[in-house]
Amino acid sequence: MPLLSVRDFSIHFYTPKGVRKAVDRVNLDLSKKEVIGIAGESGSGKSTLAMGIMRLITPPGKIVGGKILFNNEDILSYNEGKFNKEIRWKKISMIFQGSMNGFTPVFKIGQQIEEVLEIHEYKGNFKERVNELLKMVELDPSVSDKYPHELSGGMRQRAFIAMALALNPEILICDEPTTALDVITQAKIINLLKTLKKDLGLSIIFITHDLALLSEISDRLYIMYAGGIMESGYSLDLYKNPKHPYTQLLMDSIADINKDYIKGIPGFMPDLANLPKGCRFSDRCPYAMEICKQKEPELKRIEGDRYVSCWLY
Amino acid sequence: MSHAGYIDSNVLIKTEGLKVYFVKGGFLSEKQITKAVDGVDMKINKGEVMALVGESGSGKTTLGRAMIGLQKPTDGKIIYNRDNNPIIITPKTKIIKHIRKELQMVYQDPYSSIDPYMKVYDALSMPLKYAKIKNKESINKKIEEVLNMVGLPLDLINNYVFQLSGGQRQRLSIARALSLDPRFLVADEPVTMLDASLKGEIVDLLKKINKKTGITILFITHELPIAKIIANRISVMYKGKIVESGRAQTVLTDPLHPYTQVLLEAYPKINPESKDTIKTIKVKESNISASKIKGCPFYDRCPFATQKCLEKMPDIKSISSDHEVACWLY
Amino acid sequence: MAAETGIKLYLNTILKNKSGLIGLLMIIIFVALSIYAVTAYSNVNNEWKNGMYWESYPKNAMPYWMSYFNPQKIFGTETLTTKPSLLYSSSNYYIYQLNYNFTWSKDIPPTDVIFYIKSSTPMESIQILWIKPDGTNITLSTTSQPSSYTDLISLSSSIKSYMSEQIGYVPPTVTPQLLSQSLFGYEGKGLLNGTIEKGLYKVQVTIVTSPNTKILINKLYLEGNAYGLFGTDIYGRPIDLGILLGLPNALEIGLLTSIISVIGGVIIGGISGFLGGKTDSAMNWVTLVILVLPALPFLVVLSYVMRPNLFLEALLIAFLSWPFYAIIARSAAQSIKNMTFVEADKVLGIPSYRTFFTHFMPRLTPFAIAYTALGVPGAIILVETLSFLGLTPAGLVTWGSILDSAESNFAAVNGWWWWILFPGLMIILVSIPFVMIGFSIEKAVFGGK
Repeated sequence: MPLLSVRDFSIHFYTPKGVRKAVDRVNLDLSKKEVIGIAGESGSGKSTLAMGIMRLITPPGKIVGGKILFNNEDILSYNEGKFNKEIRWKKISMIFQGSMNGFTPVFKIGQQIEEVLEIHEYKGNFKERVNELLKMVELDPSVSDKYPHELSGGMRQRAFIAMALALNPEILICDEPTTALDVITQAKIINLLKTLKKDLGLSIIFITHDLALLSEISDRLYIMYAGGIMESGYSLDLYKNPKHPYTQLLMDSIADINKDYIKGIPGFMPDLANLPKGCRFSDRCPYAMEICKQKEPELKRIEGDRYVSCWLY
Repeated sequence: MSHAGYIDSNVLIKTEGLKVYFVKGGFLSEKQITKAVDGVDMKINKGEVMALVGESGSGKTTLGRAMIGLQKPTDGKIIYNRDNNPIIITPKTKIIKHIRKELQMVYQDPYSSIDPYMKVYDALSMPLKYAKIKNKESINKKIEEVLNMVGLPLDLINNYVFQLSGGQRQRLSIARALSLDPRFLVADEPVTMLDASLKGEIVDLLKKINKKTGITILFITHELPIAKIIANRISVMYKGKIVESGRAQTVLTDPLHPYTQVLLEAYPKINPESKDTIKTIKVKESNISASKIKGCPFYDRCPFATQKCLEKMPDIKSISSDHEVACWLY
Repeated sequence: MAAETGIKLYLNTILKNKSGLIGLLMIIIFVALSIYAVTAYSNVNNEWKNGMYWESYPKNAMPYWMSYFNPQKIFGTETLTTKPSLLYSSSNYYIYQLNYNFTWSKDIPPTDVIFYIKSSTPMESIQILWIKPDGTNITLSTTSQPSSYTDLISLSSSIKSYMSEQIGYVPPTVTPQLLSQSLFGYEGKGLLNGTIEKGLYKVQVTIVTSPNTKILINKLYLEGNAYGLFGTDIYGRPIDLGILLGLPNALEIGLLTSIISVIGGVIIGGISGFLGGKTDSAMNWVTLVILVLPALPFLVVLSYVMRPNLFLEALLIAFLSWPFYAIIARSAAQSIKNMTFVEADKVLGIPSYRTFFTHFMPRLTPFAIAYTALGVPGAIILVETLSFLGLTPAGLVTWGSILDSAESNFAAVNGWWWWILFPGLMIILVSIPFVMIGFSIEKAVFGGK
């Protein structure tokens, strides 16, 4: 049974230009000790999805529907107070792209992590926990006495991961956590996440546009486009054999050191307030058929754990 | 314009001991010196694409800018082999109009490198006007030529730049640079700010232009796979120094410098089988103040570092016909 | 941004914005009124300082519409005219007689009674027989040779003797009101106690002139205490006219000053920021020095010493105002300078002056326009203040000078509120549309980009 089950999740943004369907009826499953990757270009809605699960959507955005089952309970139905008390940062935690700048410059790292413990009523010795956390992210305990500006970007990102893990969450959502870091630090952070998965049994949702990066960490993969899931499945299979035309084109566009070409995807992502009739990828799809322009395909299971939203199947 | 001495006829542009240091403060506060470019010898051959690879902060942008006279060097020389008549490039090179034309640049951010409120036609025609191409007909012809070359439709000239997408603007940027028939083009991270799906197009475009016109390109990037696609030769830069350079194929398949090695290892590759394996990253945590290192800038992170590395900057050694490395391991 | 930049976009934005639209309408109305004032009333403008011109107007009259509140006590001027009859003609003199009849039903007497008689040659003498409704009468005459205007003050000696006859003494201060009261009050001890006779009054004016003189115009003014839209001042000058005449001056100097200071400031600041280096440092220093100067005291001194005309005044104010805009323009130019396309121009061989026109000007212009609009009210207030202090050219009708006059004549103490309120309101009112337009342009400029 999955740890987290997202069903029919939709987030709309109400702008003067219309209603932007940033996340459109998304289904997603996360099991214990699993890493799922959510891949997509900028504007695909992947970050909005993450923020939605953490209930951090602000107006003009609004969660308009769906269910989020955590251990079989619909946490979307909780009111904000209950969600904040029981779920946020306690069961599900998050790190972002700019997290390394998420620390206040005027307080020491240790103090800031202790503050989190305090706010969430951690029962236990604060200093011990801070040291424990820093060790977990492979930082020297002396870091707790340093100010954020005394640390490098990579170290700050680790410290933030420590802060995110302060209350021992079961799920960690990572939204482009390494995009702003150099490639060597990125590799180290990915290593760290893999270690945490193994040692703590952490389940991770890893969101990025970098498909090559995802291949190095994900067990399963979701491909997102213009607010909807196009394809999902085990990453081993998906990378070898992408089914959805968008996934195929995306794979071709990955810059991998072993390739000597990268192909582009012609066209533009549609305006989320004005999605085309039928399949949202139809105007860029090389295999678009008549039905693709008329009716939106359902996310269908085609084999094993592979789901595709495409009329070709 | 002074004579620069000897330069190999194959080489279009080269630097000798180029240093660019930035000094902050100095009057009332403590002087802070940033050694952006710290003694670089680089040779770029005519008609080749040289990729300058490095992380942010390595100094690669500063090096590129200095090479075409946008940044005053603190020390060293930049020699431009103009029709076998070597010239030293200084920031004053712009005054000599025909030299300025020949050294062009494509910037990283397509949204700010062309004024969005200009008409596309004006963006293209202005440089031509000031390059003394007075005849309107010739200008229009040139514009048509470069738009064709970069794959933009001709009727775009009536649009405003803000109506163009990022990818289109970057093509326009390239077109604008090409319109002056330059000999040398510095492309400073031209695809970094574009979506993954657009990177390929622009890289292919530059490759095509290089093949067609024989223009020499310095392609600055931090994305190794992109460098691999377009480069003939690669120079790897770390903290202001070139640590390794040579033919792209060689450097990428047989990296010599520990930094290059760790870079290639760390770079994400499509490898779903590795999802549970910890990658070996052969790098130490940096914990020595940069100013104490007199030798190799990679000393504090290098797993193979020795006392010699701390004290003395490694000489550049040629390992094979087109593969050089600056490391005491060799 | 779908629409082109340029005038079209701004007009569009202003028109879409409600306040901008109202502002624009108001300005159009003001401009139309100004044109009207300058064309239709140009002669009146010249007569503003001429006391004689306003003789027949009620002095210190309140606005006419006040009479609706209390018709018995607040009323306008009644004008009577009649056909002169020639009683006697000889080779030495002619005698004319004018007979006026009127019914008086108000609770208070007229503020003044004025006889306007224009004859082809100066009159020798006039004698007035004033018959009250109850039949009692008074004979009045002037002490010196009569002029065309004979008001109660010129008849005061006759009236004073009448007063002394009736109540036994003459009050120490004799105002036209008191004199008028005598003509309308009941004879006897209570002549001046405030009650007046209502009913039919007959006034007979006998004029002695030289032979062959004709009476060209004759009018009997029973001056009311209410006149015009905004009342009159102590000289009888209608305030509404004063406001109308002051409008073109206010607009002109406001716009002129604002335009000069904004354009000057933006050019200096823009070029300074663009050039950078030593030139910029020097210009910045100058800007700051002038900025720090206290504007009003400086202007007062300069105006006193130089006695400038309208145009020069505008220049002076502009000279002290441009630094404010220069500073903004300079920092705008500096941030533009940091944009990549500025350096790109350099690489492409485009000369700096061209870069300034292509990239900097279009970015500086919009906010220059917005600030021009926003600067007008300040300029107007500054000018009216100077005018109030008596430092603008004397012949100029400005709201400030009207207020100055009100102040010198103790209008507030005397309760002539209309003399102060309406010119003051106008200064505020004229500022409103400029502020509205300025803000809606600013919104277009900064909101859009």
